[in-house]
Amino acid sequence: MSTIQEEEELIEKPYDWGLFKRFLGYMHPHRPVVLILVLVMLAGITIDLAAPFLIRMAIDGPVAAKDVDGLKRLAGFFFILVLLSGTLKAAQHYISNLAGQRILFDLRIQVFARLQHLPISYYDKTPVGRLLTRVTGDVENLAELFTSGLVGMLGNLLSLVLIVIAMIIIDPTMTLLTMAVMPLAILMTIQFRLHARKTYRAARRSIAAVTAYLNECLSGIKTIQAFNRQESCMQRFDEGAALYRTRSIHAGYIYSFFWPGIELITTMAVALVLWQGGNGILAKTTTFGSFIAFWYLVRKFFEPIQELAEKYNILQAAMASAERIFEILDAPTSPAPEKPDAPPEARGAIEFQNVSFSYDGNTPVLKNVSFTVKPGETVALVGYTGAGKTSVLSLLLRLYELQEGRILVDGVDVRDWDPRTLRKRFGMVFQDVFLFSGTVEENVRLGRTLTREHLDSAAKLVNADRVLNRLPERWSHQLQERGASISSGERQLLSFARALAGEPSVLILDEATANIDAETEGLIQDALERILVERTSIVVAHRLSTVRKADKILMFHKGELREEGSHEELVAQQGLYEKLHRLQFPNGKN
Amino acid sequence: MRSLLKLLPYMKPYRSRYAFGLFLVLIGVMLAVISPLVIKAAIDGLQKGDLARPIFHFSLALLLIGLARGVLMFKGRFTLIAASRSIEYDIRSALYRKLLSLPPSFFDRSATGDLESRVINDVEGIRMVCGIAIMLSLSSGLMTVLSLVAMFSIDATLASLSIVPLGLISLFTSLLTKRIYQESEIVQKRLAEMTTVAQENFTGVRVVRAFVQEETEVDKFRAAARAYVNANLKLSLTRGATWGMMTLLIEAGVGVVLLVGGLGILNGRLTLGEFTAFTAYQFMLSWPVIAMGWVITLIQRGAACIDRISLILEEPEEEVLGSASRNTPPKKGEIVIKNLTFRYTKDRLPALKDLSLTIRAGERVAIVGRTGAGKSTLLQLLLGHYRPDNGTIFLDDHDVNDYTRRALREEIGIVPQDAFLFSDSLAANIKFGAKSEVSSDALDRAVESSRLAADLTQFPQGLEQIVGERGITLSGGQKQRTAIARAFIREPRILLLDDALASVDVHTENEILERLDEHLNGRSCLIVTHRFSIVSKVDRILVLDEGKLVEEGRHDDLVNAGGLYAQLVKRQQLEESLKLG
Repeated sequence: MSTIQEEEELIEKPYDWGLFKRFLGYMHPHRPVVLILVLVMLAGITIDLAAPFLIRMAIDGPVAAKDVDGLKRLAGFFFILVLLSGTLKAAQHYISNLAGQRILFDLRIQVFARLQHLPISYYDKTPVGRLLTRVTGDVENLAELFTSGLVGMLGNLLSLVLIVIAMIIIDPTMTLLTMAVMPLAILMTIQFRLHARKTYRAARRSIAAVTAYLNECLSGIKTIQAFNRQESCMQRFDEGAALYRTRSIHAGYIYSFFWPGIELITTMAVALVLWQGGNGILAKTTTFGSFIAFWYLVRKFFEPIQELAEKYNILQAAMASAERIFEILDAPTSPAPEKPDAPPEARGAIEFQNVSFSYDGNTPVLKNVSFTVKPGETVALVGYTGAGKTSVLSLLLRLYELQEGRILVDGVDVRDWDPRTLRKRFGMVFQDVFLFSGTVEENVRLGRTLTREHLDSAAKLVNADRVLNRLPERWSHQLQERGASISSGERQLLSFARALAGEPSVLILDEATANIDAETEGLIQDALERILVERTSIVVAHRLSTVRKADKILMFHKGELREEGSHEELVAQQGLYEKLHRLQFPNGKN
Repeated sequence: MRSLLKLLPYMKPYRSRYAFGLFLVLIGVMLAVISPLVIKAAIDGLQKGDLARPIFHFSLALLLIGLARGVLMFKGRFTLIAASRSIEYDIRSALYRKLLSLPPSFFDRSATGDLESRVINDVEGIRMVCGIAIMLSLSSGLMTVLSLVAMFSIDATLASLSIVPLGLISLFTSLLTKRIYQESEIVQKRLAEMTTVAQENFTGVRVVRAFVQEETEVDKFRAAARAYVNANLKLSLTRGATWGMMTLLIEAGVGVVLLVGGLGILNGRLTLGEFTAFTAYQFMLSWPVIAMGWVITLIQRGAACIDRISLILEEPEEEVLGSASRNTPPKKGEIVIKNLTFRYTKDRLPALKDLSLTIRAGERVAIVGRTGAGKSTLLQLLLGHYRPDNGTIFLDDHDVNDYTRRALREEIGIVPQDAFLFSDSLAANIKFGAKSEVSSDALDRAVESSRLAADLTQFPQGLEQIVGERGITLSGGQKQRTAIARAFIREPRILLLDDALASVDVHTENEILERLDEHLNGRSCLIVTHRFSIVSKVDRILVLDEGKLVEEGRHDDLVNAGGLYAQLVKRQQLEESLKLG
């Protein structure tokens, strides 16, 4: 067995000024909040730095002069600053989140809205999990870029500058000495960052490989057990896990080095300050107050440097997320006509003219298909699996773009329709009924302005009122995720109601093949009988009763329209349909 | 917290490393507590003007203490981190080992993603407890005690006054932690709600488009996203308040020292050096107070991880279920099934009902029937993946359950319906089936007999070609033939083909079946199939329906009998002619 494969995943990305600038654009509408944030931050940092000055004043002034009242005044002032400082810290935290959340909200809605207009083919090639990450994790990363990244870094830089200024005010010589160790700190931070990143990524790669192998083993567990291969799998897993251990210990080595290292550098600065300050006190050029205040500042000085190093990584993760998000925002949307024709009168006439279509551009799914559906007609599409029936429906709804030929709806090419106006003409029942979590009413209504009476009559027409009667809260019954609380037959009845509530001029029905209990099946057939009359209907049919009643049957085979006619005509033809008919309904029953 | 005790056996092998690492860290903490005393001595000396040594010596002392502390902390931390990583490895390995020995029924009721999260994330949560949590709780505990000792020995009044704000911090954090926890839960809930809206939208994209629901959906999502933002802001208000309160109280402590300590200097109770050292200790104390909150969260999370993992580790294993003792694999390959009844779960209909049949050693039998007739289930039971509810399967006169799983499977080679390939080379995937190391001759023979050889020219690296995740780079037929080669190379007494040739064309299928002879060589073979093209190559056909044996015999006899078999054959002919169009 070879060792576990490693793959590099894109979790970080180097700086890209273009992406960054584009992100900054999202800050623009929130300038006031961002400005307030910067001011609050600046005030907070400044007040923080007042402490060493007050200590110096106290020691050199009232304490040295034995002035009790003076000391109390200073202490009182200090407590006021403490109150302010606490308030500002709280405010800073809240405001930075406020700004971050607002930016993130805008971006999230934009991404989601954009996804509503991407072609279905985009969804075919992108797993739902990945799309979810875009609107959750990736957007979240960008918010992090704002709050921790930009705001945090700005805060760190401001403190660094202000601390240095404070140091210079107190004692320029000691400042110089502290600065002398700074290159060491910076060098160490950079080195740390480089190594930490490298080792961290190596460790991540190996744990990702372990996870992938684990996933494989869990999926193929029966195969492993059937062939008694547990030992060799363990060996391989252990190798991968051991590599992760080695690499993460290495990463731990670097982390263990960094913090004590920075502390040591701080101590060096303190030692230098003690040396210089002590001599200064002896030479009467430095006061005790200055010395103690400086000691306080030195310890503060290294904090922002450490934090800056941490933030670099956040920025890189955010860059990768930004790229993925902008990729969605830049993806081409489904084409819509520049100036859609005024929709023609709704008659329900459909015509396919030499339509050819392929999902991937290689394998043809429909080949030169032509047929017409007259207003009021019921047409059944039949054929063996993979014959292209469902594709006919998808093209009619213009969920995909056809490659050759034309489809006319009420005399107008579907490409000249505004897709939304076009789709409103149709009532669609999908083979796999999709229900949203929410109430039954929401699922049938689907955001349309329909009265309750209207919904009631639609439900009655399709026997869905039987489903409602079974539910104690009727329309307000809460459906669980993907409608798990009702049976698949009942779901179909609801989806009939959903399709008919909009009073479509054309009903499009992709009959389900799932097993349905006899009682519900009866309700469905009964409903079908009523809804298929006097309305143009195109049905991918699996029921014998449906094909028998159809005005016309279109027999598809391998993407071609092979036979056309009524049930009796086609049976008499002794062709493909007759065979299919015998196969699907061996006893003349469904 | 009792869950934490379960960790002890895993930590035990590393106890000397723990002792060493903790010892170093604790010494490091002591050194940290000593260094303000150096500053104190220096300042007091400077102030009284009787500095015993040059000021340079004090600096040097400070530096040396810092250096020693640095080295100790580094070594100590690293030792502990390495130990925790080793424990992580041990637990992860043990967990994986356990998973491999669990019966399929366990996997039927567990989600793969969930199990993965146990092995990866939960073990990581445990590692945090073994490493950073232990280190932080001990070091910050010691730091608290030592700083307090130092502070009280300098000035008890000042010490008691100045720790009041710190006490308040602990109080506030414990109060607010609960609130933060509750608010985080709400944030998580809102996030889940928002994710559900998005997920349903993406999954139901066709419904959304067909019913022109784009705007409604955006509104729905906007409402969910806003609720999420609001929950987040509420949380950040609480967090901000906590943060502000902490800053305020820590600084207030400094203020107390400034006032009370300053007054102490004025009336001569305190020296300036003591005052300075005191501020340093206070600074030190604030850190453990903050760290403790984090450590508690880590430990709570870790305890939950331990509980979840223990559930898996306590699952009964396949082998134990059988309490089998027979170590020798079946050598003849005779199968006798008596009154076998089996259901996958109690609430489901039986997959096999009172089934009895015999397959002689060396016999080649086809099993046919409609979908759900129980054909695959029978093979699963033969392999000992599940245990029958009633009745017995005898293999060479012994109950299948009397064999250890290992011995039983040693002499069975199965080609499952859905061939599972690993993302490895073709050769490795085939050799996966071998009982021991195999020669390249045997490999070539298996490749040849499974008719995979002809396809090898398609792959630039031949047998060394990596097949991609689950064999994604192979066609369905190639996958099945790889699985067949895998079973051939095993040279088992009993070969089970579970509709294993469905994706292989009829011509290749025949070629493979012809080569079966070389490999079978007196071995028993059960072929579950939906195709009747192979029936001429078997000794007998068994027809299953609804878990029962309804017909058996040879093809012609069964067709003449006009029963289920005859119906199935007719149906298939119809299907074939329809496919051809």
